[in-house]
Amino acid sequence: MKKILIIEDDLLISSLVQFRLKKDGYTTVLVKDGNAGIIAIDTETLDLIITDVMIPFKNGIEIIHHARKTKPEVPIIVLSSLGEEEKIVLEAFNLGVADFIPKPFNPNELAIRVKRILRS
Amino acid sequence: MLVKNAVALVFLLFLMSKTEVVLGQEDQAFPDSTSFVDFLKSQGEIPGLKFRLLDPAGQILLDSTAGTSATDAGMTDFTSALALRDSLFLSDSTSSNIQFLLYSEANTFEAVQEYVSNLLKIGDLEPVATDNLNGRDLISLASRERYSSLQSDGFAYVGDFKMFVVIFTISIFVLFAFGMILFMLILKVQGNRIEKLFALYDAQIVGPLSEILFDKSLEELESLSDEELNQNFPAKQLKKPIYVQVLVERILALNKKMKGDFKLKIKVLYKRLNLEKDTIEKLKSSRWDRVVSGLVEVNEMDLTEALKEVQKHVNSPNFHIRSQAVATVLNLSENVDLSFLRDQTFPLSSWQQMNYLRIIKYLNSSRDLRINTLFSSHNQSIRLFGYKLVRILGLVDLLVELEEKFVTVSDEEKIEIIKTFEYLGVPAHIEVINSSLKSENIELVCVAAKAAGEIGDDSSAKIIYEILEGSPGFRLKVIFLKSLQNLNGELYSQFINVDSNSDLHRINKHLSDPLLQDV
Repeated sequence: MKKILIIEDDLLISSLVQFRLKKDGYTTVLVKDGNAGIIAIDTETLDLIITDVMIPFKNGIEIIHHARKTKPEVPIIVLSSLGEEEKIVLEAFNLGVADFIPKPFNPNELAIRVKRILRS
Repeated sequence: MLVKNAVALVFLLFLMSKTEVVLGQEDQAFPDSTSFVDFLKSQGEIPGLKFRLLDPAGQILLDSTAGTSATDAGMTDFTSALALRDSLFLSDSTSSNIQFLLYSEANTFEAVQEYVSNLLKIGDLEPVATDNLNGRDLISLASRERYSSLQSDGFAYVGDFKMFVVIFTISIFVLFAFGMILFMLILKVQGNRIEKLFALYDAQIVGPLSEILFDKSLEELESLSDEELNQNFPAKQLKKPIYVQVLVERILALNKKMKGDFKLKIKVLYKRLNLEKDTIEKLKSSRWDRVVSGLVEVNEMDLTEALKEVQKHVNSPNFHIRSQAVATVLNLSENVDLSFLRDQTFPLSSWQQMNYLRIIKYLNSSRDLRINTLFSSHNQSIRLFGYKLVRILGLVDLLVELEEKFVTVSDEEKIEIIKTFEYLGVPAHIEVINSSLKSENIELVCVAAKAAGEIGDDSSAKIIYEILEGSPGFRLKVIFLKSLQNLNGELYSQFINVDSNSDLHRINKHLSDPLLQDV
């Protein structure tokens, strides 16, 4: 069973994503801030990371940096608001994220993208 | 600062309660030598004080300190000393003086007076009461008496009116402070309770909300029975205002962050849970914040049935209510034009203009908003907003209306209309621009000159040339020369060459420099 780490401070969004991914048969690890995200990356065996950009303690870019160093083989999907700076989005892509999903988003669309990334 | 003063005052009161000496109470025991002599006469023996008689040569006539003398006992008493002196004078005409001895040492009258005063002050000497006192003696005795308050201990300070006022003020202050602390504690406890309830209800709502949105299709949600709905959201909980508030907040947050069929599902669920009734009730509230949240809910959940209530708020005196109500009406009304905005009596702020522009820009392509209705508003800020809309939305067909209005409007509006003509680049309206070049309003002339430079013709160039010959100010000269350079290069060169003014050459150098001309 594939394990997905979700780093999102909005409880409702994270629970919706978790609910949708569980429906597709994935195991999920849910954390609410950057520090917990780093710990989860170091301790868990992961197949995919879904992270928001604006999260407490450490932002999404720092999470991506850390994941790229420690788990370069794990793909990353960035969830973020459209209003966020283009610079951040570009930096995320330069770091090699697998996908970028702007908010507002459709959880079904996210589930399709997750399936595609994990299959490839 | 107030607390510091209060603490100092309390400390002072404490010190005062610990001492018996109160400032201002140390009066002179003997105001003059006569009163002292009177006191010595009436008092009799005073510890440590004795008297002896000296002849004019300073020899001792009778020493009261000599134990063998018959008069020795009488010399501890001042009256006896006086009597002895008088008897000596009467018997053998011997004049003598009384010498004062303090513990066997000769002292002056003043020193003895001070000694006796001190004895009285420290209470080692009790004045002998005289029986036959008249009113004056009584006052004299009272003046010698040390002050002590009528009531003792705790009541001593309350008996004094000023002290009573101070103590009363401090008491009120302390009571008020305690009251405030108590009030804040109650608020804090209530706040904590509400926070806990928020967290509790949040946890109760998030799961069922995610589940129902994923498990049920749009049609299933519409036909959901109350029993099925109450399995996820218990009817008992839906009667609790905080639960409803958390539910509404969560649904609105989800609506903002989700897209696609989820949005439709969220809106259907909102209505199935009868939350729109609460929303409409909020619109009737007397609290502005509740009205605004009601308006936001109507807007987010597309509650068109609440539009009638929303329209009552479009001219509200409250800025937030008014802004949100206008945005909601614009968003939700299918057949609305901008006449409701035209009739607004309050000026539009820049933020409101930006907010409305965003909505109008989106709606303009699909609805006939009749933006020209704004030109006939009695509110100048609304008319100016109308002109800006023409410019930003590129409504060229309304330019003729603007030209017709141009003659009757204020300079501020003329500036906005000219900017619109310039922005849309329609040279057909150059007459109104040319007419403004000779205005007395510098701002209007500057805008007109700039516009003439962009969309003007030869007639504009001629007018500008004539104005330049009249030597306008430096700022105008720069704008006019730039416009003239754009309109007619020959005329520009001719003007520069004819006039040898140094300002002109500086401006020419600036305008001719490819690096500086746009600075």
